[in-house]
Amino acid sequence: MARLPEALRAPALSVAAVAAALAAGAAVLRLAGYAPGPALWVMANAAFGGPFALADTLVKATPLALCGVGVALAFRGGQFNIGAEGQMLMGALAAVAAGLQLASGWAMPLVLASAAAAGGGWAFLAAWLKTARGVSEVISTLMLNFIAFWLVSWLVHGPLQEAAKSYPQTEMVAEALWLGRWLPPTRLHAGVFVAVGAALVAYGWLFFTASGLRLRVLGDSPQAARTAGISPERTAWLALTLSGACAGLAGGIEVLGVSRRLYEQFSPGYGYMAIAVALLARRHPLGVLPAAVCFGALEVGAAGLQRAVGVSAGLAGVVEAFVVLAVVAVSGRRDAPA
Amino acid sequence: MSFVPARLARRSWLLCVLSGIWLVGGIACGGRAPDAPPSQPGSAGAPDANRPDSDKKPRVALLSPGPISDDGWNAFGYDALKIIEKELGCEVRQQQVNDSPADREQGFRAFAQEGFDVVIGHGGEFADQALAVARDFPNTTFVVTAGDKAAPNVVSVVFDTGQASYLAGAIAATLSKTGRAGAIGGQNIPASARNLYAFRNGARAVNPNMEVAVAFIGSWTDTAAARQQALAMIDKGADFIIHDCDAAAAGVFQAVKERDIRAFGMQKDQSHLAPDHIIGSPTSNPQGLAEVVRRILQKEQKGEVVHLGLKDNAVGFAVKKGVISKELEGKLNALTLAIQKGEIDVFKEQP
Repeated sequence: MARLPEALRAPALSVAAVAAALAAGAAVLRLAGYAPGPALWVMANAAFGGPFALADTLVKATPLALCGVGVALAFRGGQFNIGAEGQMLMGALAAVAAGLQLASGWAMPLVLASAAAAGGGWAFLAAWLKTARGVSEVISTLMLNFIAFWLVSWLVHGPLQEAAKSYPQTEMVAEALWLGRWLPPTRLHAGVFVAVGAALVAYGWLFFTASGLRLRVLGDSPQAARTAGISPERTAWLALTLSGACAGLAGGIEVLGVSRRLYEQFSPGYGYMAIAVALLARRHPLGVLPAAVCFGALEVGAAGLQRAVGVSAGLAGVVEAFVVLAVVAVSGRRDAPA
Repeated sequence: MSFVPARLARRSWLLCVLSGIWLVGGIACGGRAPDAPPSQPGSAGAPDANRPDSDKKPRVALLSPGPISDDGWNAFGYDALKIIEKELGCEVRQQQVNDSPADREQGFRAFAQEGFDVVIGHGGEFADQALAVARDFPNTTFVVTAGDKAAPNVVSVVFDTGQASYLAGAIAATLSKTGRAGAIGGQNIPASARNLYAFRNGARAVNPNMEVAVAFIGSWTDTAAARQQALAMIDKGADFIIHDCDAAAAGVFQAVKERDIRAFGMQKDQSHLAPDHIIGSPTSNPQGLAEVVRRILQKEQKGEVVHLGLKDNAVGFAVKKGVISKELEGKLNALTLAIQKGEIDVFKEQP
């Protein structure tokens, strides 16, 4: 095989990752006694066959893209932020808390800003622990995920529980704050644009500004960064906080666009899957968009697999997990920060 | 030089992936897997517009909040679906959805969009999403088991299993030596709470001083938490335990066996799970749910909250033979009759 030109190698590896992922999924299905061909076809159909399917895929891809942009930024800056899940939850919590107080459509930017601030603040905790106390952000962001989860769990069972006290969930935020759904009866909402916008802004910032350059230098070589007079502490703070803000925004968008309230199982693991999204995108903010669509399609396809073939939920989950693993195995090489 | 082996390794590794795809792909397109499901996966995901008109089998789908292998609530829903398939000649599908309103809504929308005639959300927590989706799909009827809301195309079916728990409470109060019993729920949701407090009401109807501890473990699957809760209750003197915590009940039965006390099942006759200890189970009859679906398909059912209980034969009490004395049996029959006539409100006392 001739050596691929430099510019094509990254996309080629991503495509190889997707191919390996499909093979892994097919192999699991095959082992479980299903014909993988028709089953994969069903998954593809559930994810892309028609406007409804496509809308569902994009709805799932939106939080994945926002979290994925955040994770990609952190990875670029050499910060292994695996806390997008917790940062997203904190963002959702802030959005609900603000959304329950403010009932006007004008407050929407404020609600989303508070979501981003909460996510960023949550990640900043980890950044501060790292620079002040030398705590690895891998540990601290993971721990903060648990704290965020149980905080939400307690709040929806206690102080923030709906007035009816029937189910562990908050009240809905005011209808004026809901993101518009175009293409009913699908759930496609305006948050898709926010995700695309965030990816574009992140791309522009990362590659065309001085602070973006500093971030990349720190990620590529901390020593070079220090030699060039770049403060590793401040840059690490910036990388993690921006990363958390993206994840927090994902939580806010998910609240206003889809769930409209908060409950324990708010995220089916978007924050964790975003790590795989960022790796599949080879840490490129724009690459995150197609990667997020791939994983959104996987989520929707797995549900479609259950509906159509009668594959049990557990097996559909295993297929999904193997696909993610294959993606990480192929695209994760030399890409995650050391 | 390390350069060559690295490149070689990468190449062979790529080859490996390609051959893997070829292999799996070849098998896939070559023929159907040995036990491929009968529901024709190829056509399954296609939109309803592509379906031939001659194929007019009504289509019914079930959204389960947990695994259908739980021997309880979800198994009961799946039993109903099988009855609907066999006796009503429907095409049926089932999907398990995460415990999240967003996923429940997605499940409803996905089936409705495929043109299903009836979509069942199996649990009261599906009610809000059913109402939201029902507006967009007027040609689909949404059924919510244990729901409390209705709309022109939303039917809620409430199985008053609590009527049978009431009987279980009466048995516990009659046979208990300590005067204490325990009731363990999954999440503290209305359907589950009603069941357990009906048990307490039944116990107190026989013995007003009966102490019945009610606790919720916050999960439908956490067997360890269920066992701990049961052990705690038993250590405080409970010698009868009833549960409504679905798959987590395995932990309750484990504790009951360890301490050798008696217990009740729930939803289905669960006596096989602890044959020496379970003396009866309040049951819901899946036929009741199938009957509501039949009425919907025949356009006989309007959107309302349907209550089904002992008198409709939709709720029953599966009792183990030989445990109940003649005298107690007479008492139970009298209570059953009173409940059927509506003379006793088993849900009277709630927390």
